[in-house]
Amino acid sequence: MKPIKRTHIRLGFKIILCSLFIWSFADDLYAQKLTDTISLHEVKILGKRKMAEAALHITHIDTLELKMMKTLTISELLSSYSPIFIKSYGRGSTATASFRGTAPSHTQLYWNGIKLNSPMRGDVDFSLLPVYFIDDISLLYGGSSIKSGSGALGGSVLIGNKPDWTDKLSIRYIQTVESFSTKKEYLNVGFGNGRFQFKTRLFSDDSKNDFSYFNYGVLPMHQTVQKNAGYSKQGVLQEIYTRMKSHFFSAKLWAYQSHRNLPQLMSFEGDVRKETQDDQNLYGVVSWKHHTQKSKLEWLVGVNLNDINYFRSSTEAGFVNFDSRSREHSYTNQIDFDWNPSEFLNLNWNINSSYHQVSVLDRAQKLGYEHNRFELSLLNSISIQASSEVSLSLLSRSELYDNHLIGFIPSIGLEYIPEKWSSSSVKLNLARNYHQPGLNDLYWLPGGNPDLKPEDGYTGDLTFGYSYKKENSNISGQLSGFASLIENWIVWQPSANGAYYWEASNMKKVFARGLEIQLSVQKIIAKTILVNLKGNYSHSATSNLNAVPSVDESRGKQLIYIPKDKANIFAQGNFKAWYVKVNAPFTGKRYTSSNNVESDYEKVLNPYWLINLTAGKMFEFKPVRMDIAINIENLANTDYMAILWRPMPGRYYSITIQFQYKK
Amino acid sequence: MKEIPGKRKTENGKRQSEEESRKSVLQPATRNQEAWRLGLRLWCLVLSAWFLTLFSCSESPVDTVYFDFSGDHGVFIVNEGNFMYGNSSLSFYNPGTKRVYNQVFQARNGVPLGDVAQSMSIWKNLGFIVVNNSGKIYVVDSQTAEFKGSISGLSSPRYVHVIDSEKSYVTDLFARKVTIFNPTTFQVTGFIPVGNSNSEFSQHSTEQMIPYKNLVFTNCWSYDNKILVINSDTDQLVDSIEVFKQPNSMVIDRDNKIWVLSDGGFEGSPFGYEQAGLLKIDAETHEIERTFRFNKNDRPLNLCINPTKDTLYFLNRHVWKMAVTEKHLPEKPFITSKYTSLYGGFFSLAIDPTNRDVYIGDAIDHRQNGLVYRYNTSGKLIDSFKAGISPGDFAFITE
Repeated sequence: MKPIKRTHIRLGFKIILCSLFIWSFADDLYAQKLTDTISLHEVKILGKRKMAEAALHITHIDTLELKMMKTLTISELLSSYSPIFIKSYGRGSTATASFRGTAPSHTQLYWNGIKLNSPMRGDVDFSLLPVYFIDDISLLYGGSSIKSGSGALGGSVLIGNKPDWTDKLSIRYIQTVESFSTKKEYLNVGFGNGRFQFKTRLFSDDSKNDFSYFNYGVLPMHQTVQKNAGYSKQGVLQEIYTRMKSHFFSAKLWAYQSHRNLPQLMSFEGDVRKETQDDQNLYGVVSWKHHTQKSKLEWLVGVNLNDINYFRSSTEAGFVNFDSRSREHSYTNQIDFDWNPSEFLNLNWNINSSYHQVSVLDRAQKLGYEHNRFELSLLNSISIQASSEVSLSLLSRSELYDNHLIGFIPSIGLEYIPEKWSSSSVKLNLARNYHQPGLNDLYWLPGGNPDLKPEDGYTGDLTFGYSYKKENSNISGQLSGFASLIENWIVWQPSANGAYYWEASNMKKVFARGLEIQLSVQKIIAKTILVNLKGNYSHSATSNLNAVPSVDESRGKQLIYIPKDKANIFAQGNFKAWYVKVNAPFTGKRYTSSNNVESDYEKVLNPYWLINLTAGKMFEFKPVRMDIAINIENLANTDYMAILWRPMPGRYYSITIQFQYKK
Repeated sequence: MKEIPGKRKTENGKRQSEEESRKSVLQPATRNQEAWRLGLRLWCLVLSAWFLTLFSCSESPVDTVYFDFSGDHGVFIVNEGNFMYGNSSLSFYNPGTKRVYNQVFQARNGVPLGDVAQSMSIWKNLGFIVVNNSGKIYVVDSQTAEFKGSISGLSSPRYVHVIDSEKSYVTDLFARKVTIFNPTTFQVTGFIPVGNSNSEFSQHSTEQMIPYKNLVFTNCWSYDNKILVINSDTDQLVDSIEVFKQPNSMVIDRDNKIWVLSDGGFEGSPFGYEQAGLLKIDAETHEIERTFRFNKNDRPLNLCINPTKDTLYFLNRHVWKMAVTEKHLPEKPFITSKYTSLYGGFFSLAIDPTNRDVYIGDAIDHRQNGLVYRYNTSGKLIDSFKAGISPGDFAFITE
């Protein structure tokens, strides 16, 4: 095992420890002004939006956190600031989500209203979404996700872009140089006025990813360097906004490409393989909104085009083993009407039609399929302020896909805000949700099953929230318990008749339950020091309830690769222009077998903490602002595995320089 | 300092009253502010506790386990594990004591077996374990499971056949060649190209091997329908025999007839789909002498033969047996599978060459420890035990 150097790190942490203790006992009773350098985005009129969100379990990841993770992808953002567990194959590699113990296809992602999940696989690769390309991100938990669409048995993630109407001309450039020959660059140019905004964002991220690690998967065990794991990604986001009187118009285009080399497992000693994955994504959305005093009408047209090419060959033999090209084209058309006939009532109707065209062909294996699907979804939503303390939300969706109709997908929410304690709330949600089978589950050759039924689940959650604001301090927390029972969960299993290929079937019955805790503390100390502390912890047990026949020991056991525990601690201190941040994600134990066997040899992925440290300073040379930060990832040089037998890098460093000009 | 009336004067008199005056200023402090401080302190306590625990755990190294499998004969079980999980393993079962040892390779040698262990062949006191997706063959001592060496740099190796102390073949799924190596020195000494540039499919894959005189017969199952014949003196491809689509297993009987079991492909396969079948081929003339066809949805695999080479066994959901003289496929199964559900079922089959016991591997859901059943030659269950994930191949120690 890789030796861990601890001596100087221990000393460093003792110092940090002591400082934290000092802060906790500091005398701090001064009236303060909050000084921050965060630029404010326009805040929409709260009345209507708040009513529409009443009794929904929704959280927003705030702009401060977005700013912090600017140079990373949404997978790292969700991993640190949400209860969603992200399963990642390593730096730059595929990252899929598990929300409340569900499968990756049960977390739906919406960008400015259009769904980005793959119609073939049902999931989203969060590593292909840079944080830099989004302006806001919210989560809809469990049954509350029916507001955005059906099928999110775990929940949904909503990402969006919005204009800054105060921007006349702004340029921002960020460059990061990191270990393992990694370089990231971001450029953002925006101009406009109070009626028109034009913004372009560009980015590129390249890395050789040749980190060193100790290979204990082969004989003799030895220190070595990761090979064939490099990647190269580029993207552009173009936004145009315009508004006049009560009309608002926007057009956004996101184009992204990624080339990734896929490394082999630690135990691989075969003929050199070339294994690559190339992704190309194009997302576009055009939206027109019309506001009146009591209503809002939106018409949205979107397109989601994805190409993935997976390739594998053995170099010495020179033969191509796999050369699979998949293509997914989705077109969306949506009309949304939101109406507040009184301040106690909000009504929302949404009709969404989507058309998907998919095709996949492996030129080496000669296998593939093509399919088109039409989907229609209708939402009826009522939010009622029943009394000064209680509000209700009633949602109902109806879905049509291919020739299947799911008539009633309901969600009921209740929110109670006690008058005496108006900064706290209790929310309850109960829902029935369905997830359509993905096109691969239905039509993949061999093994797809066109007779699959949709997965369906009952979910419930109960949330207590509390927040307290003062002039110089801010504390908020949320405690949530959830339970879902999902039936007809689709699994791929070896064919019953003995064929060597696997088949899809509505096999499983899964019971997922757990709790989520989030806590956030912000405080100003001694007028000049801003302290920010955040923590989240989630516990989700997800067990398989089917186990037929009797020899199957997986009944009641945790599903593979889904940890029961996940947490994150974040601490930040700002002093004048200096700042220090510590981010520490924790991942609990993960099983790799369905009977959760654990022994010295039968691999369980052990729990681990990672610590990431950033220190930086801001400089002002009006009108230009500059920021330099040094970052250390995996400070404790922890030896861990996120995926069985795939090495992860030890401690590594980066330096980031940012220039910002705003007129 | 002015004396405060009514206050006791002490050494710390000054300090005491200062404290008192401070307290009086603090008096109007709200409960919320106190809660604040408490919250912040709790936070810091949590953080410090966490920091302290961070470095307190470490994985203790696992001790080597020593095995002695000499003496009574036994059987190694090769557990495939899951593709790209690297969780294949080796088990050993002693039929005399009815004791099973799991994770034998890793326990003895300290490293995992690798990704998708396909097969094992025993020659003299060496066991050649083919780890298909790790591109290598691990060689172990068959009595102690100690690592002896490896043959690496292979593409997608499947089965090993030792010809003599200087030559051994290993077949491959993707490399379009049969690699030749020395089973004593573990060095690769050459290869036999078996590529078929005339086909749009990646041919030929090579799988099992059957020796006959100075020839080696190998089946090509992946999008293929051939048996290739190799001269093992010259290492040259000398003939090919066309059989039913996707031949997956072969045996040779006492009359030197080669039996080939084919699964026929699958519905929608670009190579075509036909009913599964069994063929009897004369090893001398390479002529097909008899054919048998299965029903449309049958998927037979794992053809085996008993030690006297007069009875065939194979899996087709259940275990079937038939004498080599039969003119029809058997009507009733030999051992019936209990599975009626959509998954599971008998996954692998082997016959013990010393006592004719029948071993059946059951992978259950392919994600947990599989089960191995041991029946005697009359079909009576003698034992069952848990092995690794997807027990796929069996290697019997006969000496």
